[in-house]
Amino acid sequence: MSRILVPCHVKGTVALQVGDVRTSQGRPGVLVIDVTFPSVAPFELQEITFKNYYTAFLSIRVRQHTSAHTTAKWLTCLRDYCLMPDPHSEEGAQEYVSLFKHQSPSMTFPKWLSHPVPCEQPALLCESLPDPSRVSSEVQQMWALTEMIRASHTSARIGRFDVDGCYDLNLLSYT
Amino acid sequence: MATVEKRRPTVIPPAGFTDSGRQSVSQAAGATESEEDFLRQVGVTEMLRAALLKVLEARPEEPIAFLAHYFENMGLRSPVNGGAGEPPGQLLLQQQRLGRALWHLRLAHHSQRAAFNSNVTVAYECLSAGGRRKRPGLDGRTYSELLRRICRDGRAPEEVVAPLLRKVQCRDHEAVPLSVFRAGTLTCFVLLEFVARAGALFQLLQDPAAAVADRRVGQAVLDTLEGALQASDAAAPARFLEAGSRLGPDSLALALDRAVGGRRPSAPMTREEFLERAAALFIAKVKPVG
Repeated sequence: MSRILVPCHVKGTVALQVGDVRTSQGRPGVLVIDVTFPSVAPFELQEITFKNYYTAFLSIRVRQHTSAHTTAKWLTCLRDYCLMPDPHSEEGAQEYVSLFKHQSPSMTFPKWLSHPVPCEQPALLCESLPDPSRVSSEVQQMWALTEMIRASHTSARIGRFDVDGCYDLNLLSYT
Repeated sequence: MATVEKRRPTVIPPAGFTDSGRQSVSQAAGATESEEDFLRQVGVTEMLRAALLKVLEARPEEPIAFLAHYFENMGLRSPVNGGAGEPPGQLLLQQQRLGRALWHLRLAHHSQRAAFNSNVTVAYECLSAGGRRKRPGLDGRTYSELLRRICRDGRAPEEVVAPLLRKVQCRDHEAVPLSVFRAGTLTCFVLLEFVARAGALFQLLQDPAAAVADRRVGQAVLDTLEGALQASDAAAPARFLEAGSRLGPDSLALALDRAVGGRRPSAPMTREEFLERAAALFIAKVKPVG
């Protein structure tokens, strides 16, 4: 049986991230790549080949259209398949990867790729800068204390009639 | 010179047994019983039980010193001069009450919320108790004085805590309800911990040689914290995730990197200035009393 390439359309990556992508400074850990197959004829996918670029783990989910009557379901073919043994090292970072049908427990192969990105340290951190993890720990505690106080306001009033912080009786209004 | 302690008369067990051996046994039994009764009658049993409960609740690092302070405070409750002569002046009583209330408030850390709240209630009652020349209830002047004492004893610089006190203090003549009292004291203790953390943070940021930090570094950290506190209107979990993302080590490292950016060092930032600015971020989130 000969193997042929199936034409596919790979969409751009989408970050799974909470909050506004433009303003937030954190790097997301999970990116999603959609792959669609424009050809209508059904096929049996045997192998996926790609070149990795600093992805540590790969999950593949496929949406199958089995027949016209049943609704398409999402199936997970691969979950957290390890491409890089150590995300902070170079091993496996730019390798060519082939995934075969027999590696996935379910039948056919993906039309949808989920593409997690490992945590990247900022390159060339200045020696004189303070340790970010310790700074982060202190700042997070300060944030938590402030959030706690913000949440724990009391609704009780002292019964004062303030007008711009002034307690002058003449300034009290009757409306 | 301590007053002579009077000795209470011991209960003498009745004699009247013909057998000498049995007489001695019954005498010993009688003496033991009288000791227990004695302790119970003078209230020592109850007092020790209360003291032990307080120790268990507070779990202090130095239990003996804690107990010593506890009993010292107990002594304050009884009349200073044993009833004879002039009663202590209003000012002295006020100071005693403040001292006792402060002691109660410091028994439990604010994070031990149930214990802290019960101590707050005890402190409030202590300050609100009526006296011979004092109406019951807590007035704003005493309350404000207490808050100042909390902050001063917590070794926070005055300029740092002054804006908070302006927000949560009450006017001298106002009557302070328990909920306001609780919120105000809690806020003060949390601010003290916040300032302590900010101090530790400054230690990390400062130049080991000098006692100052690079202004760009300090400002970058404060700006990041401020940004994380500028909550979006999203619901709580999303807000926490966003803050966690901003305040994570990677994000902070990037912010610091960007701030320093290869330019030559700028003006230094002192510890006082850093603490003041950090505290301002906290105080901005405190709801003023009113």
